[in-house]
Amino acid sequence: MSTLPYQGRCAFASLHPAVTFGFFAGAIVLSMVLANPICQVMSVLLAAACYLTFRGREAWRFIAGLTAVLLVVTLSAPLFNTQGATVLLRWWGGRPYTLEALALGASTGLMLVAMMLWFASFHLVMTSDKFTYLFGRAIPALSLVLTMVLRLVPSYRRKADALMTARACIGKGPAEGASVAARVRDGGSVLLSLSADALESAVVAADSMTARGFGLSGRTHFALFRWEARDTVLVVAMGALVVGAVAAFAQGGFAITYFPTIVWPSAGAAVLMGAVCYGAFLAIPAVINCGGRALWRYSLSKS
Amino acid sequence: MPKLIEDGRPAELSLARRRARVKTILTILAALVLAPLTAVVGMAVPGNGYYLSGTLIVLYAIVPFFVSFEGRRPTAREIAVVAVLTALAVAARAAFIWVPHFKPMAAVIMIAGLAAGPQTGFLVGSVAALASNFIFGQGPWTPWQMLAFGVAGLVAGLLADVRVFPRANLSWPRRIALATVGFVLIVGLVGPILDTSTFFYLSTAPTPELAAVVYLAGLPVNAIHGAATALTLLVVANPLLDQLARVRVKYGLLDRSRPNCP
Amino acid sequence: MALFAFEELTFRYPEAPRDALRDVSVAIEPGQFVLVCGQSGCGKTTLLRQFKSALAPHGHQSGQVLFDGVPLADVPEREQVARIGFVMQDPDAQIVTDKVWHELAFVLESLGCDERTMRLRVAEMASYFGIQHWFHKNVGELSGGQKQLLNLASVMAARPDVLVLDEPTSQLDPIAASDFLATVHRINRELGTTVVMSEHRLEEVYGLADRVVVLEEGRVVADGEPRAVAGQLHCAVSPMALALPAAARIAWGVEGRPGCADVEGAPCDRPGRRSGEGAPCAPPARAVGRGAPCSDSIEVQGSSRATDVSACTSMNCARTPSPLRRPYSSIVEEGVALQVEVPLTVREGRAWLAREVAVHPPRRWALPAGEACDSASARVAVELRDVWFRYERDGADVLRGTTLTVPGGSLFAVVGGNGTGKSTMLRAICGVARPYRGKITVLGRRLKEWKKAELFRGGVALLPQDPLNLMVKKTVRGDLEEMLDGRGLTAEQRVAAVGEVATLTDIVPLLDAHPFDLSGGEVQRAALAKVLLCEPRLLLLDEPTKGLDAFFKDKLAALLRSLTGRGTTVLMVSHDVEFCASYADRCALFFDGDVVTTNPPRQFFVSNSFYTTAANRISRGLFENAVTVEEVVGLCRS
Repeated sequence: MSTLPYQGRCAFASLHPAVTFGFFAGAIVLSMVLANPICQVMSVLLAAACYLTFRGREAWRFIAGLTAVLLVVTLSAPLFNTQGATVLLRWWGGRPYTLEALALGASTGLMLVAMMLWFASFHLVMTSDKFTYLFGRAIPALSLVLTMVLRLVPSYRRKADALMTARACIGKGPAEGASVAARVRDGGSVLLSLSADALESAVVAADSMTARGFGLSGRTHFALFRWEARDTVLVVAMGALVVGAVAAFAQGGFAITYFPTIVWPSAGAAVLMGAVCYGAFLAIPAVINCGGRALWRYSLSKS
Repeated sequence: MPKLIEDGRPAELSLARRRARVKTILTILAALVLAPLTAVVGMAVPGNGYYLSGTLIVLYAIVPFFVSFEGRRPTAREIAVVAVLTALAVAARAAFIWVPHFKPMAAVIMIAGLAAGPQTGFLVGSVAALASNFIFGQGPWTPWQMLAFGVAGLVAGLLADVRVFPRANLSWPRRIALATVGFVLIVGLVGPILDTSTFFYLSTAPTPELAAVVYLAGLPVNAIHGAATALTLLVVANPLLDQLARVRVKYGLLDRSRPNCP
Repeated sequence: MALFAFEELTFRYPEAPRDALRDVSVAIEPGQFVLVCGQSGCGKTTLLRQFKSALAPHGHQSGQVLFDGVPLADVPEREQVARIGFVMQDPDAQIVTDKVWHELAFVLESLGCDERTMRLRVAEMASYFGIQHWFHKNVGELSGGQKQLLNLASVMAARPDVLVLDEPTSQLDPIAASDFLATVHRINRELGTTVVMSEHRLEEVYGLADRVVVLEEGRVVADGEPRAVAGQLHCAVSPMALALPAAARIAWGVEGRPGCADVEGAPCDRPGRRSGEGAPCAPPARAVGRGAPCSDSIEVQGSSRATDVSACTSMNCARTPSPLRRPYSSIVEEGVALQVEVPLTVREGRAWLAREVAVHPPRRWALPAGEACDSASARVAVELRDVWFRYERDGADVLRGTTLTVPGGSLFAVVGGNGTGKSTMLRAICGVARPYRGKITVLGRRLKEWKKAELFRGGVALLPQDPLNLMVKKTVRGDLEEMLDGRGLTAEQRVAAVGEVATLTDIVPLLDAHPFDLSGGEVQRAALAKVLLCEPRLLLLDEPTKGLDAFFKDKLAALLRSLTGRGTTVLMVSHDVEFCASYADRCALFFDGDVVTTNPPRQFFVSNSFYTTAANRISRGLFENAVTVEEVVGLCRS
């Protein structure tokens, strides 16, 4: 639904939906599984970078809000978790507020913020048409329902506006300072008028679908998306990086323990390699967006 | 009182239908087997295994409904009615823009469940959650909302199936009873499911204290949500059910004998 | 063999008292452009839906429908989908998906086309229909005309043999309607697709069709070549004759009804029938003794029009020595109709009128230009002075210094194109759209000084473009009573108030009906009744004639007249120049957020040459100041 401000230049959004969906699925799942602080910090920073390349300046407000969330989650974590050996202070009848719980809180907060940021980019890139394209074969009827819903909701909004304007022009509708009950009653009659109209239209839509052969067997799916060479390249690269990261981390030695005291992971060569692979994987959208923009400027300067 | 959407399709489809039923049952069995496995694996996974496995189990709960709906090969009318009910649920907020913090989505979903049965009720609920997130923002909460609102529609549909509520023409005591059910459902089931997702993605190491805080903090929000639902049901349920009954009569959305309106 | 053949088709809806279709026998040849017309409720939609099994309504049916010689019910659904396209009335409701490109592919997806074929066909459709510029848009962003064009294109993507259209332009403004008709005509001409279309606005489409089927109460009362059918309708004093193109109505207004008695038995005194324009049953005195001079003049221009009519008159030519040489009013074939060169378009109408005035020079060539527009003299109902308005802070101005004065007690019409801000102006007068600059005075008081409750009680009320937007209750009565809430009336007073307004608007039998079950004209009157319960001294109407057939328009006009007679001022915004020319006291042209000119209708339309009535375009250069069909006829007969 949301339109990208830099749609033409958001190169990552123009990739094949399967590639973008695969990336976000990988990024979100890995961000949840890899609880290593280095990985978490990388994930947050690269997710923020990705979101920034999509939204530009508007992204900062969201990022600032998430920083606040991070602080609240971190600082409040020791309130619910009294484990840990290093007691920073005691409160409420001697309950301990520990450093370890604080660290764990930071880890939780980072994970939450990373997820929010990845989902925010996901929301911008994975528009409904991409979603229905991907799932159209698995759930054809429901993806059509989804398509119709996404078409109907804005039209209901317009209809509700029209209804309220029409009512306002005969002196009906919520007056200034009307009681809540009056507002609810008026909202109710608008909603009911809307639903009556919507149900009538449903019959027309159904007829239109039947007239155009909905329900015949062997329905196919049309989409404007095309698999290009760069999609293949990216899938291979993404796959290699994920396998590299997971394999490196599976070697062990990267897990962090918080309780009773914090034990940092040993930074072996394997972990280092894993982190590099992971970082490279997460950097893909930001790099592609920046690269796309640079390419576009370059092509402009050539012409 | 018959359901809004029923299946009166030619006999040739009954085989496909039976196959679909088998498929649905297999999906449910697979979900039942996979759920505990996922839970066990989830415990072992580092990081936020709770959220991941929890979300997977939520998806297992949703998938059988989807498989069953697809297997029915729904007709154009069925699809159009489900789409309109879902869109109404999503759009319900727009009509109440005047009243702050008033979210009647669950109420519309419950009405859909009452009129069209538990299965359609669940679908309307879960697709409404999914679709509204395409507008208001996808997030880690999406699958959980799909389940929670789906359950609201499912329960309403079941209540109508066992004739606790009629499918239209509610008397005043019934309307009040329905509003109460709506409130209880939100505070007791839908809200807690949503809170569970919050709890899970807040908890790399869940503790009882955190759980208590999350669910308690959710209580006032759920109470407002429940009150909004109850109020909407009280005001809107009866007329909306009447409208659905009207379309049912006028366009024969359920008449089995009509050859042209499958 | 006929592509479609209806054989004595009779159809009745369940529990209906009468047949919706009765003994309909029509055979449609490949490549024809068939126009189905008739008053609202005559069975047009029921008939058209019989063209596709999937859409055919349920009910009791006898007789049969053959498609390519095979009973339609036996034609497989897939074949029907691919070969029979159907476009419905409502541009918005029949769109299914959210993207233009997806909608174009919908039928191809159903038919299971592979991706390559779909890409090609979608590209082809987008190019042919000029959709490529809005190919990627959401359907919500399209205008009504674009939506209907999209519906047409998405049906044509299956490459059907037959295209069935059920009143496709009734919800469109005239310019979009005319574009749409041109596209349909082009499909018929360039692709050879058979077109079956129902319409109530015949001015334009009548000349395009090569066959017309007229339904009346479910029966086919006329079927044939447009000119022949027009003659039949005219003779039968059918209410449909009122909807025919202005050129034909002028010709008949002048000619009267020669020889009609032979065609149908005593058409004039059919019970329950409205009489046509003028004095329909008056003996056509003039037509009798004027054979000779006519024939001369026909020769003059026969050459240009012979081609037009040769197809239809060829049968008659064989029997009649030279039909074109005979006075046109005297060519009457037994049992058929007047085989006359009825003018159907403005061009033909001008030619006809030129001959007519050459042969029968009228005594008067001009009508008085009408009194000058002196707005100062009368009481003023509304005054807008330099009103500026925009919807969004950064948006474009919709009202750009609008200045308008509406005299009290008048029927004031504002005409102008789509999206020029006409509707916004009405909303500004209601105080719903608040201008950021300028002054609005309503009924002698500044708009800002009005209290909302007072303004809409005995002050102003607006009937919106879609009258259904006002209907929010389960019955019409409930909707009317909603207006009386909070006035402290007793139950009897409420009933009396509802009864009075229902009688005025002629909706007493509809009071207990659901608003959605009413026809377009009925909804219009019900909503008008609701608006009138505001007891407005200033009634605002937004496109009141949209979707109404000629019969309902007359009814509406009478109602508005009675309102202005009581001193109510009516300000209406309309595309319907014919309606404004016939009934308005003043007309104003709205363009680019402002009123360009204001004049009495005659002066107003005479000074326009595009934005004017068909009758004015026909008589331009021959008569002066004639705007309506009646005026042209009057001058001819003087």
